[in-house]
Amino acid sequence: MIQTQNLTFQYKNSSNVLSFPNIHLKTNEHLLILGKSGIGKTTLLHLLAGLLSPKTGNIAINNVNISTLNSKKLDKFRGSNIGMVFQKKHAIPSLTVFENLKARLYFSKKEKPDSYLNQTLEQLHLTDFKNSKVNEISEGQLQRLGIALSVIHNPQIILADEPTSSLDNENCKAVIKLLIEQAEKNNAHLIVITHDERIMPFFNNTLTL
Amino acid sequence: MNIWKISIKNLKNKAFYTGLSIIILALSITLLLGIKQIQQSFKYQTENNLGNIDMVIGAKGSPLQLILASVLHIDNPTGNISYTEAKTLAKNRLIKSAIPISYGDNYKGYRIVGTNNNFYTLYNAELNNGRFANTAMEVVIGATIANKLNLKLGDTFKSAHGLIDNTVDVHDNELTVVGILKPTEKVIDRLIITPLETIWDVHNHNDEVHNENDENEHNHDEDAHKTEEEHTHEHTHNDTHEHEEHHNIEKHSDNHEEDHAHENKQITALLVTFRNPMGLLTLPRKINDTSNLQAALPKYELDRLYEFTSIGFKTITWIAYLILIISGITIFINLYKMVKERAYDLALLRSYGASNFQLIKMVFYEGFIAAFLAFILGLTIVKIGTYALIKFSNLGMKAHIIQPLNIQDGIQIAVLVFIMVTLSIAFAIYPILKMNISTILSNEK
Repeated sequence: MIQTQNLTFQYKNSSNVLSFPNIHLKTNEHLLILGKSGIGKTTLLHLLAGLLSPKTGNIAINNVNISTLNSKKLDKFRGSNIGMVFQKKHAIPSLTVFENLKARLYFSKKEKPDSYLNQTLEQLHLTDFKNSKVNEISEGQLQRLGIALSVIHNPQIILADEPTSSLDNENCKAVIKLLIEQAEKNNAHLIVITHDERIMPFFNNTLTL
Repeated sequence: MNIWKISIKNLKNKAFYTGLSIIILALSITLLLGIKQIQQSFKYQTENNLGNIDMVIGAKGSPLQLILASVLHIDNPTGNISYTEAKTLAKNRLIKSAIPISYGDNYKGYRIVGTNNNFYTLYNAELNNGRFANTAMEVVIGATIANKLNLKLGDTFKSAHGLIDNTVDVHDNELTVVGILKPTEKVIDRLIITPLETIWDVHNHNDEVHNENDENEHNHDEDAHKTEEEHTHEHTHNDTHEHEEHHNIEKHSDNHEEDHAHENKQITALLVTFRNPMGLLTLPRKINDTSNLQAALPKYELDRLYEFTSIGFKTITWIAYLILIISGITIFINLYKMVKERAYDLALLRSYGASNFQLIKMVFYEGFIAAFLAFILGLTIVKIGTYALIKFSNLGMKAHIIQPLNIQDGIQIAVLVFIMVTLSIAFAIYPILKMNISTILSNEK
């Protein structure tokens, strides 16, 4: 369950205070947040991920008020419970695809057998590239790796920042389906922020900023 | 997967820059370790080989040469002195002990030193087996010689004239090994010790043979005198000092009948220990001012030598420190660049749940792995360099000058490198502490 109340945020050196509507997601519910560029979509996503601290208000994830957690506890909580897919397709370049997944689990402090990792790679059609360095795989493969990295530790929430903005219709559909599939497989909430209205049909809950 | 593994992978991923940092740091470590080793070798020589020798009396010439030749046994002697005169000096009440030494022959490059049994006490040398040499043609050999030349008790050999191994100018007399010393880590390990009489007898015999030939072949004209000059040259073992040769020629001619008398024998030097500091204050000046002999103070001469060489040492040391600082800056630049360039990677790891402390640890590990590899490389270069110096530079019996690196010095330099690398890393991690994960992940920076 995710619940936000009276959430506001103010950037340093800015007089503008961003206010966000309350969010209430029950178990296994997903949310699409729409809005124009600069409206604060990414800020909201980073508040939900605990990467930013709200000026006012509370964020409760499965009854844990993350706004009150100290830095250490917040890092731990984020590592275990949140998976993020970023607009910029990226992974650690010095590691292979497989090692990236291992690193993700290491920082999440979660143990998974190699067979589980291999299974995830297979689902995402990355098995053939498991020993490839990040710079040796294609953009599409890198995007799938990003999704694998966001779900490999069985998070409670998957937060996706503009995951389809640079994709054609076919790939846009494939990626969003994959995200929903992985979220449901992990019993996780999926929250996607985007200005891409092509993905609206895939979501029951929509919030426009 | 853990932070160590990620750090190693990161270093491998930028192998060129990592290699460059390691090489620069290794170079400065090599210089620092190398200088320490050379300085230590000098210090070792000074402290270990001087024994209780306060003063060396020998022929006029370079005092440093006299010390290097008669104490450290790494140079040619300045000439010979009268044993009678030396004994007279030794009776001075300020002198506690005076040990005569005479040398000029070698066996396979190892010096044969004629002396008395007090010589062993200078180096606290003890017998490993056999006994001390009591009569002429008996020798006691140092541990290194026994080991290197595989000489055993009862073995015999013939000495060669001069201080360099040769097979041309070999004496007829056979020397017998009667004792082998325990290792001392001092110069005596590489000396062949024999009574003074051995040196005198070997050379008298040679002189006699030569004299017989002279009588057969020459009259006592100018040519004959020249031949004697050559004999005297051999007898005194003085290859470099014409003045001394001339002095000996005159002595040889004037006292021909007494030539073989014990009192008129010659020695190379007298190793003196003072009874009290008064000896140090008065005797050297008195001897140098009022006699044909030279008194040299080992500690003073070696300190002087050290002063000369220390200018070079200091210069190289400062260059090494400079390189160390440059390599520190290189490490800092590399790590700082890494932190800045990999800001997105680091932010990504933070989104994975990594704490700031874990990221800092990762940077520290990268810096310390590079520093550790550089230290090992530097140490290896010094070790190989030392080995190559001993192996290929024909140092021969002087090879013992090179001392193994003191662990304390190694630790001292390791600590210095550790501090420098820590400072470099401390500056490099600053961007991590100031990192705004949200901004980086938003792709705004």
